[in-house]
Amino acid sequence: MKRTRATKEESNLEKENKDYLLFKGCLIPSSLPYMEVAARRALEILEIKITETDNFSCCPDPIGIKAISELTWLSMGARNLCIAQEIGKDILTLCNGCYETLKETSHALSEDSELLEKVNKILLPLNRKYEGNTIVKHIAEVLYLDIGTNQITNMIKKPLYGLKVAAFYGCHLVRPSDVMNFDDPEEPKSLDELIVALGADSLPRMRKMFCCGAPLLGVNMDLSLNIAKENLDNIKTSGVDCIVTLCPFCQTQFDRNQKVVERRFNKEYNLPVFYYPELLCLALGVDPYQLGFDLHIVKVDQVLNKIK
Amino acid sequence: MEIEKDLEKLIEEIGGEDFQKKVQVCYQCGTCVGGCPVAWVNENFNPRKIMLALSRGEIDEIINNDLLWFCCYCHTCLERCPQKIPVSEIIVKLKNIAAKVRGIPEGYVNELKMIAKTGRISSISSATERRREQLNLPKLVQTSVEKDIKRILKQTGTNLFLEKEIKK
Amino acid sequence: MVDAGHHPKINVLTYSELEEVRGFVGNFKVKVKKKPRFVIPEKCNGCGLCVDVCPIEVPNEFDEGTTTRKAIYVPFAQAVPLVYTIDMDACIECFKCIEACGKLEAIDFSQKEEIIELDIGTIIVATGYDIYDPTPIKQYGYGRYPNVLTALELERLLDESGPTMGKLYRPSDMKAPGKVAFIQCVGSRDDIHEYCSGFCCMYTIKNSLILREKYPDLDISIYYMDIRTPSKGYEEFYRRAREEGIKFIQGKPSEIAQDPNNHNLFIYSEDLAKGKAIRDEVDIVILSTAAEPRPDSRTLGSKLGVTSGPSGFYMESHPKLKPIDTPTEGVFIAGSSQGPKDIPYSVAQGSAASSRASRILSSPEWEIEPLIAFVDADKCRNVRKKCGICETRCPYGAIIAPEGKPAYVIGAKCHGCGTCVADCPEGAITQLHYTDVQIVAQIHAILREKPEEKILVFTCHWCSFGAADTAGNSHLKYPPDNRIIKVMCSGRLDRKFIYEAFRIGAGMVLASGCHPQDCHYITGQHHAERRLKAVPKILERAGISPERFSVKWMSASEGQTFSKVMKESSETLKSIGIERIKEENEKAKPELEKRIKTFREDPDVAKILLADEKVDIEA
Repeated sequence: MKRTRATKEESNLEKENKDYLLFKGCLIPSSLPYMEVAARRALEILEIKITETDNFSCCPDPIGIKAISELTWLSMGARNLCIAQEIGKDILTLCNGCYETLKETSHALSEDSELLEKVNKILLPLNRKYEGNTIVKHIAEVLYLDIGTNQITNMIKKPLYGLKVAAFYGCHLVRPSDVMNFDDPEEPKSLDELIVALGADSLPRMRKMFCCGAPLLGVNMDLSLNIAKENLDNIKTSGVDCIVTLCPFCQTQFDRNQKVVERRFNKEYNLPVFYYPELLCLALGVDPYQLGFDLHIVKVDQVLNKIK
Repeated sequence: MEIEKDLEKLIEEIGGEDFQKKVQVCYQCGTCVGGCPVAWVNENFNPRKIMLALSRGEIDEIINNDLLWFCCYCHTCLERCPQKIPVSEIIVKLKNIAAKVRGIPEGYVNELKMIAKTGRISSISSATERRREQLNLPKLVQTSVEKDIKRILKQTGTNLFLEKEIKK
Repeated sequence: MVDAGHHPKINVLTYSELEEVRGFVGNFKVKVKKKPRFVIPEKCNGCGLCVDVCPIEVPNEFDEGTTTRKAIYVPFAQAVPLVYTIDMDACIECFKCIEACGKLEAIDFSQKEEIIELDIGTIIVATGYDIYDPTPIKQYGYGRYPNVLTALELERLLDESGPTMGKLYRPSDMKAPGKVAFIQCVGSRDDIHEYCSGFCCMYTIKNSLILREKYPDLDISIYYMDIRTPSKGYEEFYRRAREEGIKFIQGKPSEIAQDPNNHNLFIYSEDLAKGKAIRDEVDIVILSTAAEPRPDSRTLGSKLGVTSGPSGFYMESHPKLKPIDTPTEGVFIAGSSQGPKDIPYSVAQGSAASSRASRILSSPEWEIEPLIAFVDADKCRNVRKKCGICETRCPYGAIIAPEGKPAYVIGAKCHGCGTCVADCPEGAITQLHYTDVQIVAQIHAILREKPEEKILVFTCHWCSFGAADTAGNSHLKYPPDNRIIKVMCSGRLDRKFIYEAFRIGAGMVLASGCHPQDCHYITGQHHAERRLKAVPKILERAGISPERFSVKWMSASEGQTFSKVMKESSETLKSIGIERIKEENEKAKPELEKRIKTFREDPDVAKILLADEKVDIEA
């Protein structure tokens, strides 16, 4: 079944009093809490209500767990969707990986009744039964479609004029496109427009939709870093001040592993890496000291100075 | 319970009846390779050749090659395939088959262990707690998620992989 | 084109659209809409002064938008007729052109659209094709990257009288390129267009050789999946390109990236010969895009009674035997409107179409197959109440059912499928040579002895009878208990034939015809399928096991299928057993008798039924 992509106007109609169930994921709350801070602050200022639960497990990881057993992956995903179903709210994720897992699980189980039955059999001892059709949104989707770039531009207090940014969408925000159905898989616009909405410039570069390489970190470090290098090279040549991501895996790959790539290939990038909500918070006037920038591996001072 | 060895049965169970048929329309154009991030950095990894071997029924050749695990599941191949073959999803199913026959990479064993233990892929250390506190983030409450997860792992047979690493 | 424009017997109507076609072969009445040019051709001397003063510039379609033209223009230098036209979508009506034209007074803003009516004997449709716009293939960046061109844009750049006087430049900075690459099959042989566009391999090789001649040092690569050189001299041409140092790289590029700093392009592909991913930095990329049907081809086709296939190109009457003809007698198709093709093939098809057409034009009368249908006006119920079922069944528009009057058949348009005959609720239509009387007589003759041991098989002329024929020619064995009755199309199969066969004791009945979409009468099979769907249920209710009736679609080449079906049917027949068949038939008789009631009302058919019943009694 092919669904048409939601347009901005359509979603704006239903944005009134939207209340989401926050799916924090694994990596963000434990290793990258600064991403969580920024996301929470941004949602708060933009008046997106969130509900929380401690009952979620790992989404689970669409690369490792799915590679081991698709059925385990679907069942764990369905368990999380069951929780959202019980609470009765749409899910908001902070991570591309969680977004793909939950959205694809919801999609697959809603389309294939046989599969749903199989998964529900596994959930039976857990006293859970999934009904299908849970709506799952990424924070970027909420910002882009529910709030809209115009509204964001209207609300910012400190425009990021002059800041040149490399938008890094991450694969699973848009692919597979017939499931994710949010933005174009080859030439997406949402993040670029969200960046421009803050007054910054999103610069074009080569191979924008290339994988960050993070999925290979647990399998083959060498390949993973080589892929990161291809990205960092293309980003550096495009002449930007920093990278903006939407996913903790991309964030880790470019922030924590940037130094590793630099050492291994004898290169110098010096590209600070931001999670989009961090930039949004800065533009909305949040005090940088509240955002935990000291937790970034690549120091962000040069960018903070530029936008002061 | 022994790990499942009967390959043909496995292929049907995991891949579905027409698993091989789905890729028979592949005309070997190489689009999947040209856009593949892994093929870009490792010239031995070649999704086109995986599709070729599958369409010819040489599945054991694929699953006995550790290169299979290098697919990073970015879906570029699936998006661009001119014959609309879901290459990345087919590779996932091949990995599922390979896992049952040969085991999984060490990194994934560790990930699975963590999931079985905590229900999550990363642990909450005291350092994490401290940092969260400094950032005024709510405390992470440990719930008994892992009980549910252990049940799921057991029911789907995935708990068997907890110790099963690919033997070189 | 210029020759045709000058020919005393050729009247070229350009800037015109087909409005309506009525009538039939030899006697078409055609309405053509002539759009106003706002220039009087007889007065215009082509001096071009109007163009010089026109202040409006719009993209020039002929140059693929690489240059501009004025609002008053001729499409291109060799246009026929060489007369100026004002593009009213662009014109701001400043009337400077009238001033410039002066005493010639060739410009007339009061011109209106004009409908002209023509008496036409035959029609040849040669509306050509369109080139696929590759913008939706975002990974190739066409429309975003200035140095990615389509092959047609390159053609304009290579033209000595084109926008660059035949010089190749990088559109981004007008510098001479050092390296160019062609990409084949863009939008062809994929999920956008399933078919191969056929001529792109050759024009790419041609263009690469022109480039080689103009720029001996230029580095030229062609990315391809398969190079297709099926016609005479083509493979030799391909070899020459290799001799000239054109690089052929097998692999469909996955994406093109553009260096944002200098607009250089990077092709990412697999080099299949090497079996690894490669990156190639080039100045210009040329996309060989798919040929596709013109957007209005279906609308035009419906006016002409010409159908389109799944790809949207016009369908020929028969892919092998009638490649120029269409379902409408006297209307022919030629060139790329029928499917992508190169120049020699188009010319050959054009010549064939004109000779097919002149065959008709040169004879005072036109013979058609005598298999046509006609309506018994006394029986037609359209007189009493609005019916018109027959009109909706005819794919050729050969039956007209005017309100309050009996329906009638235009003999010259009828192809003789018999679909209207079978669907007429009053039995008012008869098909010559396949009348109810003739078919019922065959049924009776076949089932006169031991009917319960026989399988009665209805076939269509073109496909399932062909399958039976192929089975015979291939010496395929099958049990001898079947008997074939051939009709022209399965659309002729009246349910009453099946009921009658069971009524007089048939063991089994099998209805067959072509596969869906293969019908030689376009929609006959579709109507047969719809009509026969209800039969098993009715038979079951009457007391006949549903497996004693089946419907099978097969093509003329499927001799194997035919023999297999016959074997299976024979086994089914045996497994049911003669006793049970007799029992069932006896039980079903009253119900079946009701169903064939109208046969008894037809004196000629009734005669056959009665004759056989008499024989029974005597026996």
